[in-house]
Amino acid sequence: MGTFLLCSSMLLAQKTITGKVTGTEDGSALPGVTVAVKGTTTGTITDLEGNYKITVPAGSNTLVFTFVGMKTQEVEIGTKTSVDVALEPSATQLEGVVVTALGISREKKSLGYAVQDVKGEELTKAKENNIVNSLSGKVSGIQVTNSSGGVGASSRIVIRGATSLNKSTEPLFVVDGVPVNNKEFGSGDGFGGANRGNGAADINPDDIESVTVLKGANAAAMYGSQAGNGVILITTKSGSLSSKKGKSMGIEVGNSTMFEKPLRLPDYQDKFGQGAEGVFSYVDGAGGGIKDGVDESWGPKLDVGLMIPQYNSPKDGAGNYTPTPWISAPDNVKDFLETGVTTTTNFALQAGTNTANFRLGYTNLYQKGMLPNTNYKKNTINIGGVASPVEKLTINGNVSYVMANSDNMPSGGYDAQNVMQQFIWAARQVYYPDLKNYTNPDGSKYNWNYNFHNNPYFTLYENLNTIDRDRITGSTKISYQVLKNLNVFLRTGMDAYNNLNTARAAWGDMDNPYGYYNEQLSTFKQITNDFIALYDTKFSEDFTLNATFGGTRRNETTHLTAGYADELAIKGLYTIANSKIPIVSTSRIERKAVNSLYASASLGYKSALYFDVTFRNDWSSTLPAENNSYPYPSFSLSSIFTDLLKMESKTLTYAKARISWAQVGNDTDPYKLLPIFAFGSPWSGGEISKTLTVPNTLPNSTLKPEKTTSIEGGIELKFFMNRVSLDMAYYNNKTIDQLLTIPVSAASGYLAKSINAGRVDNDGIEITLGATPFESANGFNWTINFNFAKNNNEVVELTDGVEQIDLGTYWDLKVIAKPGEPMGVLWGADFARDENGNIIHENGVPVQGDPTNLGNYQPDFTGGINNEFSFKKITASFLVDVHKGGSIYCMTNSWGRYAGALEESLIGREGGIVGVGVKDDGTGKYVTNDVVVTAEEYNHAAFANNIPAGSIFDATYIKLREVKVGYTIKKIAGFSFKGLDIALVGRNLALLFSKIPHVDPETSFNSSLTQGIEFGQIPSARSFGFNVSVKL
Amino acid sequence: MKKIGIVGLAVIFAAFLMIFNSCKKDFEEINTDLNNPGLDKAAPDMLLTNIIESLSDRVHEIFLGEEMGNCWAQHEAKVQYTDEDRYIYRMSVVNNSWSSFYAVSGMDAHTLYNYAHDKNLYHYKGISLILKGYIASLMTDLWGPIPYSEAWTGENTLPKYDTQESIYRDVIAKLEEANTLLKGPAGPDEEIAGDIMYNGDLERWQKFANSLKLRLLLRMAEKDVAFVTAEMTKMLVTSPTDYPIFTSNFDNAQLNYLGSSPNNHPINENRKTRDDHRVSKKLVDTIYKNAPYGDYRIAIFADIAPGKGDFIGLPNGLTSSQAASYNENGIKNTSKIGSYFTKATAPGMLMSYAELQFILAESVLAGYVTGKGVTDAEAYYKEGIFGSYNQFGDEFLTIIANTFFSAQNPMPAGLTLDDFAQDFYDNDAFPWSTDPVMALKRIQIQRWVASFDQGLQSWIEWRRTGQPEIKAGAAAANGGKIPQRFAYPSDESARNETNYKAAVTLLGGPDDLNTRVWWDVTENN
Repeated sequence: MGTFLLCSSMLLAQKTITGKVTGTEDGSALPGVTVAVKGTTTGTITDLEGNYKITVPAGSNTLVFTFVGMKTQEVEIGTKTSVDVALEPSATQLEGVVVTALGISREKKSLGYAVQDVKGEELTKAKENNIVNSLSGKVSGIQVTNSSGGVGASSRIVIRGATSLNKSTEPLFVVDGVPVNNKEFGSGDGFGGANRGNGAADINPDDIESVTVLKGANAAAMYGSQAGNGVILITTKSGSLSSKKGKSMGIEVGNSTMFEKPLRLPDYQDKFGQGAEGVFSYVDGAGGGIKDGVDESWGPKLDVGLMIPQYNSPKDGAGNYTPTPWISAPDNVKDFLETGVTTTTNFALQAGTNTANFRLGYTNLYQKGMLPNTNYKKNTINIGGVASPVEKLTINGNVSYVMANSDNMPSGGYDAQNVMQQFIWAARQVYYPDLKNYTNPDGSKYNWNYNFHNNPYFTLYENLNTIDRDRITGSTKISYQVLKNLNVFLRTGMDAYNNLNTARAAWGDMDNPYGYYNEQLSTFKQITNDFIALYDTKFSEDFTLNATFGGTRRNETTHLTAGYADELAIKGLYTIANSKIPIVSTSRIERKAVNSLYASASLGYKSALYFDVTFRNDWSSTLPAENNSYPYPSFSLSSIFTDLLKMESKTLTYAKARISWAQVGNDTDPYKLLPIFAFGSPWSGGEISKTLTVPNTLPNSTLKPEKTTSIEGGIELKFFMNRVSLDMAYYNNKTIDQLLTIPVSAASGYLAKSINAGRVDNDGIEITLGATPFESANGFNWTINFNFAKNNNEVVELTDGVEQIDLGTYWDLKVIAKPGEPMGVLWGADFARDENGNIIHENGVPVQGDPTNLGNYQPDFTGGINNEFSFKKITASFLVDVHKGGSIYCMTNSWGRYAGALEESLIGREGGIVGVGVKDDGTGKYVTNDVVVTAEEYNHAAFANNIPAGSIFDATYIKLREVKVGYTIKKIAGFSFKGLDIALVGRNLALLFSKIPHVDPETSFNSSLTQGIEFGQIPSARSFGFNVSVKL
Repeated sequence: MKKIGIVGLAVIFAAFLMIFNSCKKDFEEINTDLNNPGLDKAAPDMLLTNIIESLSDRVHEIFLGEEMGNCWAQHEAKVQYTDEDRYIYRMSVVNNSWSSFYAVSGMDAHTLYNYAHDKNLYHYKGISLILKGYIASLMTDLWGPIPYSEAWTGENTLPKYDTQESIYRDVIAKLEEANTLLKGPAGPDEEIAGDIMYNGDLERWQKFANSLKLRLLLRMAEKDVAFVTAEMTKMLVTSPTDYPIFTSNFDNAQLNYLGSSPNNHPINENRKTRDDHRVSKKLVDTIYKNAPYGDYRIAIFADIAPGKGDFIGLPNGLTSSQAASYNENGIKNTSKIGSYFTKATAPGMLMSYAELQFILAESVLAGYVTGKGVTDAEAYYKEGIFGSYNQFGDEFLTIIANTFFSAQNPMPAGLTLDDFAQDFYDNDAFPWSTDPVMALKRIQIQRWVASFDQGLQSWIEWRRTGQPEIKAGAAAANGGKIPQRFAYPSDESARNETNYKAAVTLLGGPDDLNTRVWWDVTENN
């Protein structure tokens, strides 16, 4: 020791310090910690074992240790030659490091735009099959709509409102830096079809480490044209290198079992049964008896001792149905539905050293739907690894293989294949569970009606929609530390699937007497190659620079092959070759390529002021050569005032302000530029005559990309030693040059034309408030998280001569975009009204008025409140989700009242109805209506589909979205493990408030812009169950 | 070490840029649509097939042809969902029909014309003119003024409307041009293919052009007697060999549908799941119930009502519940449309030989054909009835045998449809009359009967002639009046507003169902 002291004093000019850096949490070594000599530009970083060696110039006496997520520590050297340091997690660690665009980790405090992240375990404790649903209520500014209660159905997610009138308004999903396709695998609409789920639902929640939501164009500018709607960045548990020497290993096993019951079923009336004008008598169920072809419930009174021949009455000797008691069946729909069960079992193994790590995960999901004979199955294998075979070189790899299939996914929408349709119309006295045997012993059909409906069990057991998908997503990445502060990597990512959809109807189906069978096989392949160089340096003690430069080439190919046998020759054989009529088959290939170059620089000053610039240029194959190159610039500035001004306050512990500006765009779909002919259906007489036709959309060879310009500002504040935190953001987006397909006069020879025009604006605020109202030494904690978002959407302009664009047409109601209004105006006929707004009646029933703006599907605001309580090993939390405003056109209400099935149809059943309003007294003067009509006549007129106004409702709701109670054990009977978590969980538990009767206001049938329509909703599920996971 | 790193970086980067640049060149190839033929691969035969099929499909489309056409002409009535039968039409049907005539059959015909014109394919050009003329004349008869001179240009998305008169005159001129082209030489290597109506038989196309022209001439006759007389006289008397017309049912402009979807008759597809149409009481009364000596054609038009064992027509324009309870049980106790018209292979008729005979009879009777007289009119009238009987072929003979004869009283061997036509003609309680007013009425009523299931044309003719005398049904909307036209599609008022407004001015009345088109001068409501 003395010798050392002597030596050091002799070498006054400079000395070498060695040491090791560890973390205070578990004492493990920290690699990559920056060790700098204060007041100089000298610095180094720790190696994989946390060791460092630095030469300290004369006159310097302080070392500065900095590491993301840790408190910076300054250590006086004095006479020491060895300095070991243990770094503490920084105060801001809760939101320390986030993954940003291109997979680059950044300190959250350095960002000039809004991001919000969700940890993986938050997604798996109360498990949703669809990752998209898990985000509901947890992230401000996103709107999630669970489309249906059917198994495997898709969910729609929109961040900060819809920007484009043309393309999907859903965000880009990126897994480990590689875009993943979120297209729907087959979606229904309001008129039928099975919702077969969305691409992101293939991402397995058990393999997710964290989810980061890049909300605006500003955050997403580096992703270019795909990111106009924001980005959902997902980081998987592919494993990172252990910071400790030696081997490490972990095993995780979990099971989640959830039971599902309908959240809400319509309130039916149970006083009157099937029929019309008060009468009914069954002969053949198709009009042969007295009103027995009618499926409505305007028949005789139930439960008053009437005896009436019915479909299930015994026959007398002459083969006639004999009268049987006419009684109600109040739970006929409830009992038809079964308890759904979803079990998810996962297993993961992780093993590694400080130079290699490997993780294998397997998850099995089995879902049995609430509708009989529907299910969904998914198996996921995920293998990930990282290795550093030689110094400075790191190789990452990750691959997920997903097998998803279903034996039957229910059809939705207003369609005979959706059993909910007949329950809306249905005869109230029929107890549906009694129809389970849908075939009589002699092979004939058994049903309650032969005029309109299939036996609902026939529909679900014979008319099947299947899906069978194999999907591989994965990426490899090689990164090399070229220089001390220059890292480059090459990454190849792929997303490929084969997806086979089949749909069938059996012989004897009401709409398809000979049934049908069709298959659609789609193959999708997307390859993304990236090259990125990352450079970070420190100019002086105060300035840091973080720069990236890179390029991407993305190739996408979709190939669809489909065959249709629209009538079947042999009963019960489902293959295309069994077509009774000429087989229709098609194939389609779509290809697309996008090249990009990008660069970014982030300049930091004293870790308290950051200025970022990003620039990206895309070249898309879908646009004409002269317009196919387009840049996306962005700028952002953020300042942590508390650090910059060295504010030392116990009240305001952290204050940050940020502002940014960005521009991103949207390209278009392939083949929109040049005119073509389209094949029509062939004329198959003798030799087949092919047909050609001029397509209905006039192409445009001068298309250019859409452009969204976005400005965002925000502040983040933390008070009382971070016990209260507030994050507020304001944004303003304008999307111009919308790629519109506008309707044109058919007399031009076309129905529509592709153009660039129009503007859609979104502006809004988002507030995230977190607080720990109670924290005690004995371990009781209470935290609240509150999310609020208000988005104002406006279609500012379309183009000359186009007053509206139809986003969807549902009978006499259209969902339109109209200048001056938010996107999604519900446009349809109101009741005719006099000048005082009274409804005009003619012959006692309301008269149809002119089409008008009946509402809009955009909500006023959305939000969520999550409360979490923890006491020692117990945690409990509940999440309440709020959706205020917006309108829905509810078909269950229209037809349910028209058909006399709903509770409200009891009004005036016996005394008749005098409609509230006026009538023409014969001289053109309006006087109070006093004409009495039957409830049947009144409801038929007021709730038919020609006057949608009667069925528009406020979509406001408050839902108890999630409840969790968990218990963590570390040791049982002397056997210890890393964790045993047991949780009781519930999702979508209760509709606490709703303004719309009979249905779940959260309703949709696909991810398109056509929202705000309820058209025979499959009831959404209230699910509850348990979750067990063990970590060894 | 540092050097190696930089070199390595440079190499990687250079390699990347190389890949990147080479890839960009393939953009055009990547964005080439491999699924559909480009404009350079136009095939006139494939376009022709589609024009004929889509035109016939639309004319016989269930809402347009069956429920507006056939019900408004009172050939048929609806027993369920009776809205259209009460003149409560769906705007979507009007929109879709307009769109289909313009953007599908019309646009394809126009494209075929342009292609044939560029390549000097004279016969294709002639055929495209006939089909386009058929579409334009049908549309102007349905709506009145429509876009025509500025239509089908693609780039002009706001085409102006033309008067019905100018459209009629131009279509007639184009049919003249078609007649000339079709009798002239073929273009280089031109051979008509894809012709699912006449199988490339140019003479029959020529006959169709001239027969259609006569239909239009008679329809506009009261507006320009001199012109019509000159044209008809030229065609029928002065140079008939230059203007061949239909000479038998073989020449009928009809698409013979095939046995299965999607090439079956639209009504056949509808019948697979729906059963909403019945034969109208007006028709049953006219040719059967109130006729002292029945017309055998009742048996081809109507099925026997199963609940009653007789031909029973359903009154038009009832409410759904009135229709359902008509005659105790409307569904069972009224006559369905005969299977000849609802089978998969039912013909999609665009214009028949019988109709032409009645056109000739009326034209001659009215004096539009200089050099022909009343006896010629009578001969045409009789040939119209005979033509109508023969139109239904052997299937009709079988139906007659099964309906009017039995095992005890079998149909004598060797009888032909001519024999039954003659029997009806001889015993008709309302026979040919030498009174010109009565004769005219007979021609017009028989034309209506012979045009069963050609609802749009029968309704248009009723608007012109007021024959037969039909009344709106009990629960009819539209002020209890039978419509005189279609209202313009709401798509047009939204997408082509300025020109739409000008069109209403041209129309000369409100854009509703009751304003009369240019040639319509008959009070009939």
